[in-house]
Amino acid sequence: MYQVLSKILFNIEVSPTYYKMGIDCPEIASIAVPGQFIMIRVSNQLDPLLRRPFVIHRIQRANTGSYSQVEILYKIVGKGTEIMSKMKEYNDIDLLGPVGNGYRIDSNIRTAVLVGGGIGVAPLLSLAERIISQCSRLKSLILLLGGKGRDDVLCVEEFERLGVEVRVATEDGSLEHRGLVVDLLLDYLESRDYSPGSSTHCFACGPDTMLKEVSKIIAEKGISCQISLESRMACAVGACLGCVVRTKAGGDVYKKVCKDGPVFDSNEIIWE
Amino acid sequence: MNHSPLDLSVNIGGIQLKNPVMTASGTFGYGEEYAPYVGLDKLGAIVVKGISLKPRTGNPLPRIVETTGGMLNSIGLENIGADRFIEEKLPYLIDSGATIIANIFGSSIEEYGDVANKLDDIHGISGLEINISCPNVKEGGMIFGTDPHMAFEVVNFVRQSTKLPLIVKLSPNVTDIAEIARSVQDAGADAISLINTIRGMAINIETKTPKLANITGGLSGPAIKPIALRMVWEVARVTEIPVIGIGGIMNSDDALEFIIAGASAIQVGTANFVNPKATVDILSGIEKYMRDHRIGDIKSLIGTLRI
Repeated sequence: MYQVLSKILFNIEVSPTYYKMGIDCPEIASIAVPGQFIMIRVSNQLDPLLRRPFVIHRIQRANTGSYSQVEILYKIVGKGTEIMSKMKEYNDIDLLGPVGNGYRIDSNIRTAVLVGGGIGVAPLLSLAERIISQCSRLKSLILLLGGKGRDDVLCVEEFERLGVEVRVATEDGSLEHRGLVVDLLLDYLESRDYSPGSSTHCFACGPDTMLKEVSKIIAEKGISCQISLESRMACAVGACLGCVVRTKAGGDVYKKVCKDGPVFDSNEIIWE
Repeated sequence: MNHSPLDLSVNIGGIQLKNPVMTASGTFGYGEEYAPYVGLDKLGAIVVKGISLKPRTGNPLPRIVETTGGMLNSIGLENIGADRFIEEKLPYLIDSGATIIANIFGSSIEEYGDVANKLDDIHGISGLEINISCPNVKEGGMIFGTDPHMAFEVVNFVRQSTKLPLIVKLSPNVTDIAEIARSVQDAGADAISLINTIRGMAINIETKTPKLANITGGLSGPAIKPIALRMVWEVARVTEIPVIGIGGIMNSDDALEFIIAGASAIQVGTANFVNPKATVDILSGIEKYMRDHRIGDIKSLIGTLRI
């Protein structure tokens, strides 16, 4: 994990209130894996004070061929992200990363189901890229993506360019299926003949309510599922114990989202 | 430019520190977490996360929330307990060469004594900091730190349970901090550290619910610095034992204010979260100030406030 002052390569609005930022940081990019995150100090002033966590959206190669850039996808939700949205290219940005444990990719995966809710799509793009490059037996890669409305459904083209099959649900019905992304998951699992416990893996990121439902559905089918959790955090190094989550490890034990996660096996979590 | 070596060493109630920059308990884990950023042996001392006799699970979530120029926390003293601390965390810290101060607490006077006694003969621990000031747990912590008689009793009991130097960490959530300070000095404390966090709260106006599950929490960060500084000054004036200043120290200017107010050392807390190298940055800032002002010995700066 490094603390670096890096250059912003671009910072563009990709959908109303959603932004994508590219950062030149070879130290972090060269060792980062999908599901890990970075901590950004959004201001040199004392307010906002704490760093903000952002999961890595893409890990990009430069012209030299080595991984040197990371991208994050973020939504303006408060003071910190508001300030970030106004940052300009070529400006410096103070980063800490890569933080945490990312998704574990089993090279024997034949079918991968990615489930994203809203901004939770962010880590799934780099995950899809790595699954494609690392899993030689891959037969099917599908993304189930949900959002409140069409503006909250991001990156569909990027996934399609990778050859990922994308199905979309919106709560207001403004794009494809009207309803929740878990409807799509139920539908997918119903309609498909998969062999439980075999080489089908599920990866999810989104709001807790979605992850809780996904975990429940997946548990009934006996499929392995890794979920990426979000939490308020201060230090990101495992010191402050602000970001913990209840897990079944040893009965009922708090684990740190920053250090033990943010990716957990779905059956590990005790949902509130 | 004066290149003669600077003397940054201070003695805190029998604990010899190579410099006055320490870490505040609960903000630096067990040291290991920050080792990628900070040479642990470069600091005056590492004060580890508060230790109780048995492990504690801590408070429900959410436990932290940012406020203007600060943060509220209600971690609830989650910790792995004295045994696991000794087995799993202490060896690394000893190997790092750090000066180690164990922060301890209990839910009864007896438990304070038991954990102090347990750490008494453990190799590698230079001193104890007794937490009588946590605002986030019902059955212990602050109750001992807000009443001068209770404070006397607990410190007196711990004094008899250990030979190690004792630092007592005070709560700011009192009317007369000087009175509490005198009580713990009379009870045998070797040093006083202050302030712990100030009780506060934050509310989500959409849901009309508290932003912390525990409803209230402890405020830390730059927002509390003027209060901390005032209290350090009030305590340093009326006590004979060394005072350690804590509260919103973000940079060396902040640290120097506390030293001038009467602190013999300082602890860096919330700043570690913002800048993992905050402690070493503060240390070099203090060194620069000493050179710029031709101060050879940091001890000559302590309590030099002109009124």
